[in-house]
Amino acid sequence: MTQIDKPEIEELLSSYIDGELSERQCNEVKRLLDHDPQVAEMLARMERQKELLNALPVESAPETMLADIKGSLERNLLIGREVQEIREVAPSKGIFARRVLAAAAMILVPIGILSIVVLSLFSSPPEGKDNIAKNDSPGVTVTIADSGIPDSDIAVELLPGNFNSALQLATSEAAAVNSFIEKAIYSNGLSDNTVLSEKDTINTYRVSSTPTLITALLQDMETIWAKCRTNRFMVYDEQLQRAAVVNNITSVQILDVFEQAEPEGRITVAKMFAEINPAVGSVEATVRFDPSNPIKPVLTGPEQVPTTDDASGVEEKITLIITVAGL
Amino acid sequence: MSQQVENITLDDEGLVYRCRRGDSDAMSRLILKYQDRVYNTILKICANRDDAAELTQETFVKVIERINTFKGQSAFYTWLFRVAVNLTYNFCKRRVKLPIYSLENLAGKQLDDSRAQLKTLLADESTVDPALVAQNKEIGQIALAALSELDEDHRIVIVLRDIEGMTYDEIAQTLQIELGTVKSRLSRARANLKSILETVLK
Repeated sequence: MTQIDKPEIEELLSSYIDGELSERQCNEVKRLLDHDPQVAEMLARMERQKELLNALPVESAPETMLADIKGSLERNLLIGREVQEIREVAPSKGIFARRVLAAAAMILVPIGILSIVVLSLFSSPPEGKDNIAKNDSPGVTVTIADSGIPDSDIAVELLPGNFNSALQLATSEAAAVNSFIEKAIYSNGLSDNTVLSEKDTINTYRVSSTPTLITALLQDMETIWAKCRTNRFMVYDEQLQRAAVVNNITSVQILDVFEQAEPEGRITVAKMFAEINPAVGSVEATVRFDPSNPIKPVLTGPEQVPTTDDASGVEEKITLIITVAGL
Repeated sequence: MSQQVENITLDDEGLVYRCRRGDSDAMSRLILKYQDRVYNTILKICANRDDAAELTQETFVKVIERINTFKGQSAFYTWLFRVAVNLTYNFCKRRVKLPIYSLENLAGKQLDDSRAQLKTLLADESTVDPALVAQNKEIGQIALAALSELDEDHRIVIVLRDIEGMTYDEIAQTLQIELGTVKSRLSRARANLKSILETVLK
């Protein structure tokens, strides 16, 4: 072996000990080993060095790694929200482009919403039920406003006797949003009151609890709004036979809804937000429940019925169904 | 929280699919599956436990936040390690402080026996199992200190091959370099490490 050959032989031996040579190259190495003790010594040394490194103790990640990663994801959600708020407060560039986009949105969004409503009406079941009703199951179907959402028809089951609400979120950061929601559920002691179901691209959290705890949960979830591209919120009450649907409700608006003491007040406030969110369009619905099947809603006019169990002094139980759709 | 989800073991593809759909359980499983290997690899490259922990955390945060951009053209494993190695490489390039395994840190210690043992082992003059020798704390420190003397490019390729156990194909995918470059770089890295160890063990 000459000094000129050395780098080439080293490379050959290096690949040889890793089993990365062809059969022909292996035979060439074996021939070299048989005829040159220097090469054999070089190989032995290389193998021992490799074995030494391979045998170095493996050190495990700190035990808090998973929690730390989840914490970082949550912090990034917060930072993202702050950045968005700054952008909303201090726009500096592209005013003309934004005006053009805003004008386009004013034209296109109502058309899109009108299309969804018309489509829903024409695809109603033959019994002539409400566009948010489903005949074959005790549930309602709500469609998230953004047409880019996969599997956007999501059936949510009503719970008889409860004030029901549904918040549907569409996000491209579903893993982080789901992680944050789960932590908020856990930290508010709502784990036992929550049922999580997963279907394709959608996670659904069905939380049944008192208005106080639901409000606390929503307060903790405030930071996820910045990570969601769009949302739809719906409230409905079986006894009042009234419902309201709000597109792109803000984190402040949804808290305003749940801060109302009575179901009627919540629906009234939600309807108000449905009307004052014109930029994205809103839909409101009124439902009546079929007496033969108290949890199947049908289209009708509003009817005022008192609901809360004030006499018992026990806080009412309400349901919030949170749906996270990954984009 | 009661989960209506079947508890089955999923491969990376299944876990990534579910993670992309927002399944936080799948996200946790992916992290737990790889956190030790990523941490160990980063630690062997950057030679500092605190830095390795931070870089591991940063790696997973970045991967989870960008999981929707993962097209599946390479294995998730190599994509994950590409992120880890890139972050660590950039970190090492701008770092000014010495790693904990530096040879200077070892200079004042009573390492004569360990040096002699390692010298014998590498000279192939003993039948001692390298796996047993490597468990000796001082010998491990000498090896890691020698490793930290290598250039970043050489250190990374040798860690991926000899410590993480990647194939040449996986290294090429992780570092986004040609297979021939992997072979030549690894060979040079091993030769340089040999020289460093010989100097240390004189």
